[in-house]
Amino acid sequence: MNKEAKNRMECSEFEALLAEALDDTLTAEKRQVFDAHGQSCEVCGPLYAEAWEGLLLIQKLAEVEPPKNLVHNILAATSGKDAVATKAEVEKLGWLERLGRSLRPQMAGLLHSRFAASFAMAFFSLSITLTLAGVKISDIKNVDFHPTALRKSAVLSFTQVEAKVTSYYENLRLVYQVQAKVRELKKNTAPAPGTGNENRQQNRKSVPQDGGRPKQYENYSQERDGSLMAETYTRHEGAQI
Amino acid sequence: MRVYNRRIYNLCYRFTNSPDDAQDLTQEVFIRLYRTMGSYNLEKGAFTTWLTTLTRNLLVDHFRRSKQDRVTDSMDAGLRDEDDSISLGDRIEDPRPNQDDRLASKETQKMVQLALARISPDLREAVILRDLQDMDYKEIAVVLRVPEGTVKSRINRGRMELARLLSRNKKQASNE
Repeated sequence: MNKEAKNRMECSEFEALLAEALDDTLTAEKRQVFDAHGQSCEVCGPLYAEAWEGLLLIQKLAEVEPPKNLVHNILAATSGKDAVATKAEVEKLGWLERLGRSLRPQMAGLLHSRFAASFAMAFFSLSITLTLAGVKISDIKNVDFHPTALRKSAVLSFTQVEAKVTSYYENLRLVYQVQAKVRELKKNTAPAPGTGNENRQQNRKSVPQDGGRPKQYENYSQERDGSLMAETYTRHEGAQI
Repeated sequence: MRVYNRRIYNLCYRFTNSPDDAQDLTQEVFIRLYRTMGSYNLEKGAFTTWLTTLTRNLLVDHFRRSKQDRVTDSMDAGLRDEDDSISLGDRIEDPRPNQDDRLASKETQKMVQLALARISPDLREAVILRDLQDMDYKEIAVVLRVPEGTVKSRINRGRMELARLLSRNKKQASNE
């Protein structure tokens, strides 16, 4: 029956053009032939009517409003599901592997044994140094890391250090001044040149008691003028004779 | 996401005839979209076609899980019975004015939706993509992975089955 040509169109061709006919995209000539075949063919006519009816029915279906929470659920599912899965995976891992995952791939190599040993040594050194310096890690929690607070802290620290340095040099200066005054006083209270013979006699008496050991070195720090050293040299020669 | 949310939900709802399943499937579509977004290649086709293909694959999986093919088989048997009971002349008569009047009510829309859910899945998806999603034959052929001629044939057969099923329901309702 399909092979039978009716009004220059076969049933198979009619069926093939059915979709275009319902879309109304056939050319005028083809549409005329198509309609003629549909009206004359007992099989194809009902097919067209049923297809047309079905098209009208389904096109009458209104668009359904999705649930209001759908978008929220999708966002929760797409943003939370991975987090839950990752959390479950992470809980199975050891702390070193978790640390490795938290680091970037470029930094992951730092967890090799040689680097890890170096870091451990550096950490212990730092912790010992901080302990000896009196720094407590718990105090860091109380530090305010706001830029303004950090600036104030830095200025305060600088001022304190500056005050300490200034005070140190002032004290040093005072010490030098006192030493200079003491020297000056010693110079002023030193015996006059005329009294040198008494010293010489006293020295001569004391030489045999000390076994010939020169005594003048004890006076070097007190008096270093050339005249005294010359006298001492003369006294030694006498002792040797 | 908000652009395609409504489209995907409607596609899923019309195919499954279940608001809950449609919601779950829509979520599943977007989760899969989120995971496989990197595999989308613009040169292979429009994003809408790609997304519809993804949705269709999930719908097919869902259909296989829910074993709806039994319902379809029984419906086909019913259609064959109905073909014998209604004369050709009755079906040739144009029932459009009556159907238009009835479609104004929600009850009629429910009937159309039920009838749509009962036709064969191959025909149903072709009809939905064409008449409800406004896709052209070429795009549908890409989504369903069948030739364009097969797409047209399935659409025609789907529309016809829908009309027959509703006609039978109409007759049953008038008898009661």
